[in-house]
Amino acid sequence: MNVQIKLFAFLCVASFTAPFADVLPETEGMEEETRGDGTYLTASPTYSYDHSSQMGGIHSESEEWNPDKLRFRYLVNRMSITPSWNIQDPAVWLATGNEIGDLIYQDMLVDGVNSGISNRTPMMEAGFRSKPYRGFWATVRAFQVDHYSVGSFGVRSEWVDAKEFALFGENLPFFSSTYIGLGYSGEKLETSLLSGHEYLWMMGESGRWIPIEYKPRAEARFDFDDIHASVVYENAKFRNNSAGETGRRQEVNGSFKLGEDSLSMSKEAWNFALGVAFRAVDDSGAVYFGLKDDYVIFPFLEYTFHPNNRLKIAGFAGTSGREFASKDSVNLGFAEFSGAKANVGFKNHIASSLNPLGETYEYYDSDTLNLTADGFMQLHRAYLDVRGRSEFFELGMNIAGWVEKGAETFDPDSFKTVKGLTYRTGSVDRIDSWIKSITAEANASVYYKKMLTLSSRAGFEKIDGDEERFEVNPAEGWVALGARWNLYDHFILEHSWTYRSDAKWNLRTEDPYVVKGVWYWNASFSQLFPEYGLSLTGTILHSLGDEQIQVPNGGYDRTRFYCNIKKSF
Amino acid sequence: MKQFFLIFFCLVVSLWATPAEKDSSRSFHDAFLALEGGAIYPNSDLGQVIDRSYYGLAEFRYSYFGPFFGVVQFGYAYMNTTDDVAFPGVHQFNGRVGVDYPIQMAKPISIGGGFSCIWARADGSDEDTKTSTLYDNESEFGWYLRLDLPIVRTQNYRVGAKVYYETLWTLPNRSNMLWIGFYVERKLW
Repeated sequence: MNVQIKLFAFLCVASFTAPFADVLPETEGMEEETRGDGTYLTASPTYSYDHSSQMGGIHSESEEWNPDKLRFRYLVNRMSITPSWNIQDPAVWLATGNEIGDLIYQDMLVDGVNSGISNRTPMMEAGFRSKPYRGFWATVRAFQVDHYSVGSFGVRSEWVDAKEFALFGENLPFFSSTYIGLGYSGEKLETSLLSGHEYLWMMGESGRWIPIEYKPRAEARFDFDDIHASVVYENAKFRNNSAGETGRRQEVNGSFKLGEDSLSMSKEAWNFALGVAFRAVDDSGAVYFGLKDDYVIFPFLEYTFHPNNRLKIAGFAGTSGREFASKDSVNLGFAEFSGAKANVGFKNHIASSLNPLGETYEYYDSDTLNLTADGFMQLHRAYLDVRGRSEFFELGMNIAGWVEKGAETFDPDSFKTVKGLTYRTGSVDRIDSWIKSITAEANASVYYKKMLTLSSRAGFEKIDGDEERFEVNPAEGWVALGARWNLYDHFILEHSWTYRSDAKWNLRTEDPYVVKGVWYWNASFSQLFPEYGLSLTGTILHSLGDEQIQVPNGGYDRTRFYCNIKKSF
Repeated sequence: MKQFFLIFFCLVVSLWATPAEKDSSRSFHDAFLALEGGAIYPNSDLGQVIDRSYYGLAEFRYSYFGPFFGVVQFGYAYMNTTDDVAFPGVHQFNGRVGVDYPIQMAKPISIGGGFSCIWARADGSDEDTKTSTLYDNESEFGWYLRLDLPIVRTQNYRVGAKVYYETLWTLPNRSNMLWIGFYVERKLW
């Protein structure tokens, strides 16, 4: 960080803060695109390093399994919301957008395809969910985001035929998904069954983008009172045209949970939930990943204990027999003092694997990458959180320290460069020494009725350890400034400036890859017609900042514009 | 983008400078449909490859909130290329979404602005278009500012002229164009 930015960050920290209204990205699960509370590096809509200021540890949030993610997607050993098959509210909606900067009429001035200027790629979505009829409803949705796809296009087009591997167009989008389904919503019962067709690219630990076609993919969800169940069937086809390989994986995964959520606001002093998450696969031919024994069953117990309004203890513990994972937390709230509320707390995360349900192996030609490591990780985090709100101002700060031993990392054996992308072999490993960190974040907001909110946030994270073999060195500082105007509930303007300092990938390439610090400006403009349930929104993302590749083998992070129209029922 | 940013702040400032009446019941209270046709003049460098071209569009305009009107447009233009270009023209479909604000001091003139979206594809044989990125469908976004000059007004009709300044966010440079057209507008309700 240069001096001005440090000074600016200091002033922002000194002025404290409040919750930040982030501009919404193109699709669910891409929220890291507009967050300014830590380190967020995107390779594609299906792969990002997302490290918030309040999680602790050196890993990315999406690498970690926990019971809140029972209905997330498994992408290799990561948990992803995108492509989201979450049921949308009853409405009809359309969205379209593009990375800005196509040639169009400049084409003829700069010699078209010979100009060396790469193509810009779109996003699109259309969806519908009916109003319920006696509780029954129907839904259909098609969506894909082609952004980030140009950088690795050359390599990826050797794996599949670009004309065939998406619902629309030939850009090899990282996901292209469609589903149709039926459901029932009753007083206590919510149930749905979806079936669809999907194209997806997953990034392996090797750094390769692996294409998968799900045909069909089907997902059923069932929620009745304290009973929650979901089951997914996937018939996945793998192919690598240039190697002449094809493979097939049939997978069933899902979960069952009985009891209150550990994070529920139930008044009971003790809450317990018993659950199980499971996966089973049947592989034939060239499947580029492997699950040990072809199945994993992970029973877990979730609990909360809040004997009074001040003290809350929560956590979960589970084991698959091969791996175990547990988290627990204690939070103590103090009585309000001079308009300010203070909380202190302590969290522990002890696990033999960040994601005990993820893949165990990745196969790369004749090499096998082992995606689990012996031993276990332990992460301990203590924090102090103070915030206060008056009529016009809200101020808050969070100061934390954490230590971690046995942190998961990667031990590369070799690197290979193919058409500008770098692949690696090796295996997941641990850092068997203590990593220490101090984190602080402050935020301040100013409110004027519900018409105007101005928000600011600034923070830093200083990480230190004897053995700096981190996959990623997160950014040391970040700043975000935002505003939201609501004019008579009919016109909403939101914008945010975010800054993140340098981050560094250490193990993806032979020499560390530095992602330079960058400012972004995000903004959205919405026309709302609450009387008609109608909204019309235009959004600009990642403008004014430098366009860069944030993850080795990832795509360029370009300025995008998208608009959507939605009519709610 | 710098221009856009300035416009954005002007827009925000203008919203503060002219506090609208708190009257949410005006949404869609009045609605109008217009047909419009006119000419497109590319500016400076773009004139080397694009000649003056003609457009037609349909516009839906509706009372929004306070004194503001909302605007939604769809249209088509055949963009004529100059003799230096291998193909004769480009098909362009465009859409716009924005707001209009009647200037109290200069009734009945309105100023407006918003976002534009275009879809473009070259016209011509495969041989002529193969080295152009426009050989298949391309799309781009941008923004516009406009002036609405109604000349004749009756209870249900308006006839007038519109002038637009539009920027498409193309690379390596932005594409700026001036649109001038005449319209006939019918009140729907």
